Amino acid sequence: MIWKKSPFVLAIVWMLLGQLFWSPSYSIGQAFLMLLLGLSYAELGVYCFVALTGMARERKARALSLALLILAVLALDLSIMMLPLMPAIRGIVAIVVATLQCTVAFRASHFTWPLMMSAAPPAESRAKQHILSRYPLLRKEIYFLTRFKDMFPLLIILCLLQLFTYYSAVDSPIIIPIGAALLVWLVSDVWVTSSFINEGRGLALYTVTLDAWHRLLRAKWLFYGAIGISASIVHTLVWQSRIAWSWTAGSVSELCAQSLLLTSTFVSFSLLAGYHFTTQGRISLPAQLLITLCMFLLIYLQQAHLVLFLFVSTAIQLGFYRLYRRVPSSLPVKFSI
Amino acid sequence: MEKNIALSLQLKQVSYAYGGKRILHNIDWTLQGGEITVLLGPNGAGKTTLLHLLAGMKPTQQGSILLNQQVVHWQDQQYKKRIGYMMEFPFQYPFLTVIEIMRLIGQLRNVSPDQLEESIQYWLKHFLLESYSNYPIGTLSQGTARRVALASQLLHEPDILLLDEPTNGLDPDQVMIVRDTLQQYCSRGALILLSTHIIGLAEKLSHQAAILRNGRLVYAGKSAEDLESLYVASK
Repeated sequence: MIWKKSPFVLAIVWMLLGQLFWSPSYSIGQAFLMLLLGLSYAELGVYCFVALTGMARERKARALSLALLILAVLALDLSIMMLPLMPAIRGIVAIVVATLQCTVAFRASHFTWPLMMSAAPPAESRAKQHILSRYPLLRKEIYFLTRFKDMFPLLIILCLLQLFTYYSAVDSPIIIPIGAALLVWLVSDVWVTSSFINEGRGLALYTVTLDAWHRLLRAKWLFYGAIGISASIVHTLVWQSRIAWSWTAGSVSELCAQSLLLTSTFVSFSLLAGYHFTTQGRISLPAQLLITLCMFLLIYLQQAHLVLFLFVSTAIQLGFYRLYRRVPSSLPVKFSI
Repeated sequence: MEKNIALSLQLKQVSYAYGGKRILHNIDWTLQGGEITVLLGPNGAGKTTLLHLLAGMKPTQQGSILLNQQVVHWQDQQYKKRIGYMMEFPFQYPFLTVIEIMRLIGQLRNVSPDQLEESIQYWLKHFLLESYSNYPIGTLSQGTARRVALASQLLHEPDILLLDEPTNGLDPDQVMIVRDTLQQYCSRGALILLSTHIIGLAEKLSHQAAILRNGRLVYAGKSAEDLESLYVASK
């Protein structure tokens, strides 16, 4: 439910922003103040979001001014965090603004709770409003993607990876492309490999015709490919910018091409491996270790022997094409009808 | 769907075995378009296997299946496009809503978007599912989920409809809706084959009947008013 999740999402976004912008010169106390600032903004943000949704539904003119106001508060918070202020002044201003935000959020909660209660509709109308309702294939993949058991370890590893890059990127810039490759590996290993297993008996739905089989594989490939490429590009751009990377059209297109090559190879490999082990019933621990080992080897090849990587990538893509062009003749017992 | 009385589906000497155990023995049988055929038989008689073979979910090990006198390969996509198959335990993602699962199945069957929306609305109304359209499948009763499964298989207007125990878990009102739907659909020329344990339903619904025992077709012919005695006599 978006109402319940939004404060946490805002808090996570805030922490990530903080991680990107806080310089090492910040003390623990200052970092704590910034976190307080972020959390109070998250509280305020969620109540404003509820009010905005209600206003937008009733087409009230005040919706725009409230949206602008909340953006202005965000700008103020970011300025407090980023402007070169004296630590004492930054601390005092942060305390004042955080207190104001908490007070306003508390007052706003009185007005928005009735709206929130009326906006929490019964199951049927909530689903009606689901924006992905017209794209059930995509909605299904997003559901698998956001399940806690996969999401939680991924977020933890993601945060650790970003923290590691934060401390080492300036001294060893090579960490950045390796980090991007590791991100693509994470996406592939956690989500893509298990995506066939996640389907369970649903896999039988896609074997009714060749078109259905094509649709399934295309949807998975494009969806996870888009996530991998975006993660890789954003990671590289953000960290390269941090160590004063000069942007040129050539370097950006090279980055896009590399991300595309790496992600397409990983996604094809993961889908192939996932399908292969699904036909055996499950992905056992040794199989999982083998997949991870192969992926590390792929990262190594991509970093150290690009030509060899290209050969391996072509072989993997051909393997994926073979899987794509025919409906599989046999599925394991637990996944068949 | 075009009226297609000339449609015929034929099984010629079809046999099938799992491991060493023979499930179907030399089945010779012809089904006609515009008729509802009921397949009766005790549990384990081979009814579901026979439906799987007809739906192209498995290859025949011996014998062949012919559509309008032409042999069809079990993975023939043109043949599969003409089939709607409701399984005994139909799979539906529990987190998708009724309308979403219908959209998914319609999209997988390549129904054009406009036609799909129209068709979904038609079948939702027909099966009295309109009020459930935005409920997740996992929250529905077994009977309602079964009606959704049947409606989903009609979206692409198949001319061969295979139904494995379609009335399991349905209350008498729902059974009547399904019965009327099948009769109406059949009158448009479709070939309908359903397996059931409910002899009363079979008597009221079917034009043809078949009894399968231990993998052998012991009766195939006109449906009788007293199917029960025929069934008992076939032991």
